[in-house]
Amino acid sequence: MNAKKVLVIDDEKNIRTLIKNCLEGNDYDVEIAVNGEEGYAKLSSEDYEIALLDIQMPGMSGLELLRKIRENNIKVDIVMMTAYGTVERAVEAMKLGAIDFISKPFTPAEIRDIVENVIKRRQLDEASIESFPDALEYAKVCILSRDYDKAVIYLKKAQGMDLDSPEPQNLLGVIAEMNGDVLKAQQHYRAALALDPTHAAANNNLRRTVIDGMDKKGADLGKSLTEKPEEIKK
Amino acid sequence: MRDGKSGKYIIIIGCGRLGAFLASSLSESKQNSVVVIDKKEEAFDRLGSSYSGFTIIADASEIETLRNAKIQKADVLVATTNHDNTNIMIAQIAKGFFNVPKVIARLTEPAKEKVYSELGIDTISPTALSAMEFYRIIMENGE
Repeated sequence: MNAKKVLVIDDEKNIRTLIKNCLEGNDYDVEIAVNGEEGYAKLSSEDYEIALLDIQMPGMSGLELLRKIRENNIKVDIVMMTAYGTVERAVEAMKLGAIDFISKPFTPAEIRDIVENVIKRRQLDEASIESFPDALEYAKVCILSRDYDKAVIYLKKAQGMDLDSPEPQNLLGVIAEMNGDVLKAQQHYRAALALDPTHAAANNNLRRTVIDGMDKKGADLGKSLTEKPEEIKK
Repeated sequence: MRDGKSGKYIIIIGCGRLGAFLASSLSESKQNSVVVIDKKEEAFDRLGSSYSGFTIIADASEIETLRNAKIQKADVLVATTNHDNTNIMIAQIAKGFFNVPKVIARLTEPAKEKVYSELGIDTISPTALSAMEFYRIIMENGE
């Protein structure tokens, strides 16, 4: 199997070294860029499976680079690296089409898992979706690429596979919210909570829509396979 | 490591001479991820250019700081501040509240060692260690 090419874009040398150390030797070929400009040059001249992009950099920021990558239709999965406890901007990044995010500091296992999962997620083709977690993950990919109709189809499938799980209801709520139907979204969040009153993401989303009104900022997609759900801050 | 894979996640409290030296050495060993927490930004100047890990400017006696450092995923926590009481408090939180598998505290007053050992916290007392080394050298030469 060919080594998978990973690009790390971060202005801090210690973080670049750390990620390189953690990933190398696991079938990854890790390249680095020290700023947004260099990152863009590398991404537009070569193909990478995945790019780990620091959200906060002097010069071209991570979000600016992400926007530029999308505007120029460069095909690469982007994982944003966010500073300590700042989830809001990560959510903004997800809306711009980043596939996932990891918050600093991270453990060696976290960085390996997120890279593995993102690559696995992309290989997940529609025909092979047979299990509940696969359907749910695929629906999340669809939501992130703003293909809401397809996401709904796979969420219904997921519901059929596991009637007791609150996750699909929560994600249906997120989609309703994105479509501007806040009442329908709340119904979905309540349905999720009826299945599991402790479901943190649905709780956050319901509270957010009820108390803060129509504020899509911070929609909580629920926990990913790699990380516990982050608390959504107002 | 908590999930069985190689590479430890290590949190070091205090970036004084001891903390900085330890952080630099640990981060040089590949696949470890090291986080150093200190209240003062200047403290991180002590980390050499070879340091490859994270730094957080915050008060580690706040639980929120430890949470931001993802203490629940840590394999090791080392408390190296100048204050025994700060070290013992953080070590206790790490051990009792977050179940960090290995917790080590720096102890300037060797007499307090018993308190720590009863709490299941390993201690290193630089004072006692150097006294023992001095003793060894003196006795060797004295023969």
